Amino acid sequence: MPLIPIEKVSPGMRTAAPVVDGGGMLLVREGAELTPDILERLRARKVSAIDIVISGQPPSGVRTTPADPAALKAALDHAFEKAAQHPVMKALYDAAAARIGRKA
Amino acid sequence: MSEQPQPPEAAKSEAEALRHAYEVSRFVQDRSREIRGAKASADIVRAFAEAARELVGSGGTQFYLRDAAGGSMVLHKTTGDTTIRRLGASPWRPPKDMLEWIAKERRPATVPGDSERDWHTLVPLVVAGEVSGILVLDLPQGAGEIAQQTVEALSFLAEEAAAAILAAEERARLDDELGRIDMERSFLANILDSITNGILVVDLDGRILQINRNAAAMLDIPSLDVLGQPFEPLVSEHVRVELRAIFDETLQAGFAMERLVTTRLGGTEFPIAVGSSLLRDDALQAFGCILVFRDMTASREMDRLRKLDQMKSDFVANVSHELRTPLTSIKAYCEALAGMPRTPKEMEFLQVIDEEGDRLIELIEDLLDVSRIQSGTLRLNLEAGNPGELVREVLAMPKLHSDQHRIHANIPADLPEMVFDWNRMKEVLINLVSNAVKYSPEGGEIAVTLSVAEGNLRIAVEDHGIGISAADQASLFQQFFRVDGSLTAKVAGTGLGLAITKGIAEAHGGTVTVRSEPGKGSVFTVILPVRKEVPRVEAGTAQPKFG
Amino acid sequence: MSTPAAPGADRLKRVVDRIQGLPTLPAMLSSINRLMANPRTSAKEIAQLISSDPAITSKVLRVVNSSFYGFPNRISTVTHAIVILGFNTIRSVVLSTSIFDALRKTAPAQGFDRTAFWRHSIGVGSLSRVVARHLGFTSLEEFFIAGLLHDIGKVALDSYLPEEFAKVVARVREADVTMLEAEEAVLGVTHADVGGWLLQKWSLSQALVDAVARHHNPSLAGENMKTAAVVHLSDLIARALQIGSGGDRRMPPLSDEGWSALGVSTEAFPALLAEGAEEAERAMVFLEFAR
Repeated sequence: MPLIPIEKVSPGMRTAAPVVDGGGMLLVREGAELTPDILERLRARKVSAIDIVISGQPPSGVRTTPADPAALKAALDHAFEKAAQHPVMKALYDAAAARIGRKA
Repeated sequence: MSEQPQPPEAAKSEAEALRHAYEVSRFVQDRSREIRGAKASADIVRAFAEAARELVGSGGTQFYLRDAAGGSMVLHKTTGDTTIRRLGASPWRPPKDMLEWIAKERRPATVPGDSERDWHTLVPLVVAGEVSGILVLDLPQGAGEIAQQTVEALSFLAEEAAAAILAAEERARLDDELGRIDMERSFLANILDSITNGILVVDLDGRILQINRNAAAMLDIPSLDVLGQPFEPLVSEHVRVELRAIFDETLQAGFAMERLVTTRLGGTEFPIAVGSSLLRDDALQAFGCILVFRDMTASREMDRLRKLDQMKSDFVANVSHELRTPLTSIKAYCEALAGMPRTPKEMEFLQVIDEEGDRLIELIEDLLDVSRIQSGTLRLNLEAGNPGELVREVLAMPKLHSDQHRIHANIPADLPEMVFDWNRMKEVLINLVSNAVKYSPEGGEIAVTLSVAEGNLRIAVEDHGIGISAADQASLFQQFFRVDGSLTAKVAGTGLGLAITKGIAEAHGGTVTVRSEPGKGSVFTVILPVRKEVPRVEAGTAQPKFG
Repeated sequence: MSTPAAPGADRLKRVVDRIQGLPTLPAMLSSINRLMANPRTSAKEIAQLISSDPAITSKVLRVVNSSFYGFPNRISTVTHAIVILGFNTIRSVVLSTSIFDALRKTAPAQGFDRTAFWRHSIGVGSLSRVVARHLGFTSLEEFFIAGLLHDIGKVALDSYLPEEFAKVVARVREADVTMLEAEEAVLGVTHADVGGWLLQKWSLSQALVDAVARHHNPSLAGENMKTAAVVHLSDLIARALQIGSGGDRRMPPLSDEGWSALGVSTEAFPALLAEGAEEAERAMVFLEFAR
């Protein structure tokens, strides 16, 4: 998410983060669409740059595609292939496998 | 002395900061001592709230507690007027989600109230990992003025309060427990005293740990205030011997089968069943023995035992009878065979068969006697007679005599006439004298002495034989009891003789006692009340006796 | 490679000596530390300092308003953020955003998925918080930072020794070994060593340095063994939960000494995994700063 100088920000863009002034006061909340009016006020408050959401990019890093349980289980088995002899690691494996099993 | 390189302004503010830090830490120390000094949870919370209020200079406080069901936080108490400053507005109450957030964060936080200038510091009390309460302090100054030190001091005080509450709860729990233990103890004592049985609990050294009223009454112990004392000196000699035997058996086997002990209370004898088992602690370590006494005179148990005994006696009587019939035939044919011409060898064999048949008949008669005695169906044929004559008759019997023994009788000339069952008493005397012969294998003098004192006839049979140990004396009169040991191994006997002797004596309203010393000899004494007339009470209804 | 095996410190020096142009942390961090050293410092003073950097300010507000901190109302100023979330929380937010900021500008090497890497790091940070809370620790923010930065050495290697790191990544892919094993084989030093060195260079606390440098071997973390063990265990749990990826597909071995130092029961695993997964999902807000 790029920090874009205010001169390059155009109306219609969305903020990726809250916009604050030098005193830490919130001016625009995150995800807000920037109108010409708002941009004018931001310039007046001497805001120099704004985090902008690039179109198509999800606003946060939350995983969007749920993983396939079978693939998760296979990866888990592979990871623990050599480690699961240890009783603690076995217990960890069981707990993780149970979670995948519940999701499937 | 060189000049301090620091500029005076910086030095001043640093000194100021140090002084302030010192003051705060003094304040926190004083107050935490106060918090820890409070005994009850409510006082601890009060001391904590007051200290926190002073620390932030707050006007009012609210204290929230989790409701009893562990659900939401509920306003428990407020102090101070939070409305004056706010010009009539209703006091701010933290919303539920705010309280839950603090409960999750588990640290003090200052949160906004209704307006930009209205802030409140929320301090959770985390007791044993759970947020048990939240203190809400109205913050008088701007939120931005709150210093790190203040937050840390609040955290510290909250931890002190939580620790103190935990300690107070632990104390309360202990108090409860002690109270409960007291209650349980008196509850137990009440139960013990309400039980119709006697209960005596002793430690491994025989010292009394617990005794209930009934046990004290049955054992004739005058006071219940005997805890810690050895039980043995407190009971009569006869009972002591019995209890000691039961106690030893319990220590060895883990329990002792119930047996009958006769105690004497105010001249009356009471049959008491005594059972016992070992007491173990949680680690299965034996620490004592519990003896249970049941008064058998009136108990239904008595009837049950009597019925059982009746069944057994009937069985024995039936079997004995069935055995006697074929034996009689055997003897009859023996006699018939003996009447025919025989070789000396054949005659010798027939003699053996006849004698062995007699022994079997005797044994069966003995068994029948025992079962009659036990079932109380032993019928006495009471007739007036002279016991001196009886003794003389018995001592004249050739089968009692041996080469090694000299039997002499001391019979006073002025013995009174009295009623007794001649044949049964003859049986008694034969038993005692033949025992005296049997158990003095080295030979020697056997004395049968008659005397009358205090309305009782005493027949004492004295030998100088192997004697009987004290332990064996206790069981001597039980059926089938025979003194064990190499010295007696050669002596034949069914073990029924003394039981029958005792039964017959008792059927006469008398008893048999023994005085003996191993290696020196024994004295068996039959004591019978001197009765002139046939008693009106049927002998058959006499109380059965056990042991 | 025909060079004989050198003692660890020597090897580390040889590797890190070649790291040039390492980014520095913003001066603001040391200013915050200095201010917080004075117990009388007020929330307003620290807020003023943070607010002097609008980029950091906006990130702090973004994070403090995320579900990660879960405050029921909106927090609109840094002062309020400090008052509500506490001084230490804000410091760690500033620290983590600064570190993301310092490292995000460098060009990533081929074959090393930075997004997956940061997801893993945030996962370990969240789990460290969860495990530490389970153990009754109160300074949860420090555990979060330690977990977040535990693999920072990988980014440093990726950014400043890209050729060598590419060999490590290739070896992991070909031999299907852990990053740790590949680094030992290729470089003779591990990302843990490099990470510890980096944090030391950035003057971060010794507990943080030890936790990062010893997160594969808590036994060597001395007095900070428990902190290192928390990160160690959290790394394994995050791997089991498959939150992101540290760059390899194998579980590194469990340190028995670290495990017993924590005194966690395996029966706690289901709860720790559930809580950790949930908290990690909320913490993904930090991911934005890594882009």
